[in-house]
Amino acid sequence: MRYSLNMHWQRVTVVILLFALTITLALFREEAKLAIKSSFESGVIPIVIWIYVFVSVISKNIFFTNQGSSQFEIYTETIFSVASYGLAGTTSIALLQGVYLQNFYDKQFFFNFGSLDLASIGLVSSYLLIYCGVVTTRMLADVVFRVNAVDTEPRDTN
Amino acid sequence: MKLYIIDKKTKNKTHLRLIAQSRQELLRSLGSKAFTIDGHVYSLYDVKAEPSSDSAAVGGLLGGVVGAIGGVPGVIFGGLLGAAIGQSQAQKDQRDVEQFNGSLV
Repeated sequence: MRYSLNMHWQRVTVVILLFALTITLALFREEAKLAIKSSFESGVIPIVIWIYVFVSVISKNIFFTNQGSSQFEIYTETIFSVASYGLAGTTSIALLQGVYLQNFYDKQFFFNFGSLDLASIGLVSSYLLIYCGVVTTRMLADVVFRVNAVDTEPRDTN
Repeated sequence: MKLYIIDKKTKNKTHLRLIAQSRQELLRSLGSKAFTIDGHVYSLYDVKAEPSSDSAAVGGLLGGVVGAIGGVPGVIFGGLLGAAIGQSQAQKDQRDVEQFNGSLV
């Protein structure tokens, strides 16, 4: 009996990567905690987020603009998109940093907040960060995977 | 959402460097009901839409990485949360595709 290999390879790859990440975290728990702490304290993550958002939004708006939009609309939409996704991403990573360091290293970032409040902040911040990541990655993917897209020449039908 | 035509010469999918939510919007941006690509003439009804990249996979991966700060349970929960966010984006994309493919000029 022959089985079809018509699998969703992107999702299979993601599951394998997450599985590998889970095993790594389980085996090297303390090292992983230190690596996360040092990456938070280095201050590199917000810079990476700003660069990623900037490149994604600008390249999407340069290569795939709606031809019906005016230059002013394109300009303002680009600025607002960069600002909103950049601020949402960096704010959520700052909140996650606070929750992480307070939870695992007993550093006080949020005073008079209970464990339920911290869990809520972590959940909402994660949601916001993942949402920004998904949207900006889709923008970048649109540009990268469609570099071979063609231009159209209108034809006079009158 | 990506817009494409079936190339009349090669019979392969050719994606267009255009963004439109409907064929009316495409007509407004092109200014004509017909257009040419490599010398071949196409009508707006030759243009079809399809969903873009797999958002659920992207969301799952991002969620897993973000969730890593919460350890093993964080990766699992983050992966599921990210996949759910990506899936909702994909459903929105699918609705846009259906709206475009059903639109009339």
